[in-house]
Amino acid sequence: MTIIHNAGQDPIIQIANEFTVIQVSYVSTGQRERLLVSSPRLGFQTLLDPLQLESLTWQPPETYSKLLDTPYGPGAELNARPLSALLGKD
Amino acid sequence: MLRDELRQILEKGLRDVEADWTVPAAIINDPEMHDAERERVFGRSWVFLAHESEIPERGDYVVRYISEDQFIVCRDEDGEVRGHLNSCRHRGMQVCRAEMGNASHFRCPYHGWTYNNKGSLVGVPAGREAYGNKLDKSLWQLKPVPKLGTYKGLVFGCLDPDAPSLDDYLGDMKFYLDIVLDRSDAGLQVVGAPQRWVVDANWKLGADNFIGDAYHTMMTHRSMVELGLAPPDPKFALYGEHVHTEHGHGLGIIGPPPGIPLPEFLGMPENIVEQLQRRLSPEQVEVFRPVAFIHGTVFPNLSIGNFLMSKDHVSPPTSFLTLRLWHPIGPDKMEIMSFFLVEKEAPDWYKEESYQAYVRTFGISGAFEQDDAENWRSITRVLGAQYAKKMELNYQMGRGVYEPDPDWPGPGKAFPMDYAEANQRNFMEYWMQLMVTDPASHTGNGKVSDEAAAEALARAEA
Ligand code: FES
Ligand SMILES: [Fe+2]
Repeated sequence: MTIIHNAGQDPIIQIANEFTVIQVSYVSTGQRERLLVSSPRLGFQTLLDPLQLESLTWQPPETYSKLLDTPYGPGAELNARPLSALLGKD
Repeated sequence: MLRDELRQILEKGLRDVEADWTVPAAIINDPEMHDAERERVFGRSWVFLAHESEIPERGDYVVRYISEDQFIVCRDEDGEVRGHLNSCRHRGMQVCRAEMGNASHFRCPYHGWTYNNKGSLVGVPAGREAYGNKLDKSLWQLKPVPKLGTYKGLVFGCLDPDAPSLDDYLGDMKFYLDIVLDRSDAGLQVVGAPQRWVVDANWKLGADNFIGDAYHTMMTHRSMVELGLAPPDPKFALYGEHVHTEHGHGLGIIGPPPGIPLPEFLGMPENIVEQLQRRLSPEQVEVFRPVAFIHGTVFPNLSIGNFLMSKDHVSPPTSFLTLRLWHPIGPDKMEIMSFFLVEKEAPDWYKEESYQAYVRTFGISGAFEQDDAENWRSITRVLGAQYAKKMELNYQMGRGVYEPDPDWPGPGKAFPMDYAEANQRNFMEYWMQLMVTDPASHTGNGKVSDEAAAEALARAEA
């Protein structure tokens, strides 16, 4: 674990293994308190509130295997089109 | 198929080791011998991979080797120990490039196929676009080690699905292994990561030295005696029992030299001595009581050193336990992995003293270690040459001197003095037998190993 700091000097916990790096920091805006979990390599982030975090505590390992079905993040909703469809369309 | 020339050398070697007690020098450093050895010896033997205490937590893993195959040895999310081939099912990329770590999932660095630590493929990037969601992930799990087994904390793997069980393979050697591995209630822990270094020497020289070579200490380690780090009687290693068992295993158990009082049970701490007297059989306790040094080899390449030695010329001797793996990386090169182990429940002062005695004698910079390695390098270089290769090596020690000891309380074939070469002959004979025995026609056939892999996965998922 490393602790780094954002521009506002708030601490960010960073943990990593040989497969990825992940950052966790605390965010509060008035009444709202959340944990910000972000993946600097893939560019995703999520804000988790206490109930969401609580629900993680009883997930079996298979849940995370399912979540890793798309290991680089969501991609299934991409509407892939062939390059040829873009050609000759100035 | 073995080339005729190799087969002739080995068949003659097998006759000679029985009749003349000699061994062909060509088995040490010859590229073709080495190729055949990979398949015939390492492809069929149980090879030490890791100690369970190296992967105590779920997700812990180390990467370890059987010949050139590398395996991720891990503790999965249910706490079970597993071994997976470290090769992605897509293009074969190494899945783990770090040699140790902790991960619930492994993501291949080439295209991102992702496996959980049970070995199942769980994620494929762009699964819909690239595979139309038609890739049946259940068919593309990481290949398991064909056979994985654990004995008293030692994890072994075997590439031959038809090999005998680990229990049968270790056989009578277990009586002696227990003395080292099973003498305390909480068991052993490996301290730190193993020390690793590469030596320009054939791996068999390390195995041969540890299995029975008490004789070299007088000459090779003479300076240790002069420095006061080894007992003042330079023949200290003579006073022992020399024992071997089936499947090439063997060890030497050395007691105190005459007139030199040494503490019982390797001078281990009181709480451990109390536990071992309860845990071991009366015969094992009897064997262990006068011990000052235990040196042995579990065929093929795992050696044990449990020695009573001083960390310097003024301190009293402390015992330490090291396991070492002679990992072959060529006919003339091995990587040594040296593990330091200590009883989890030993007092802290003992753990510290024991560690210091280890690093200063048999750690990578230890004085004994360096004495030995220099000989092994030199032998390997000399025996790689064409004329030298045609020699026979002399394994005749003890011939006409000792008969097997009828009073020895342990199993195996025991000789009453540790200056013998019966263990080394037994090792070499078993090695040569494996070398001349053609692998059963169905092993190494992709279909059968796929079935074995599917079976292992079915077992794993049950
Ligand atoms: S080689 Fe592993 S994903 Fe392609
Ligand atoms: Fe030595």
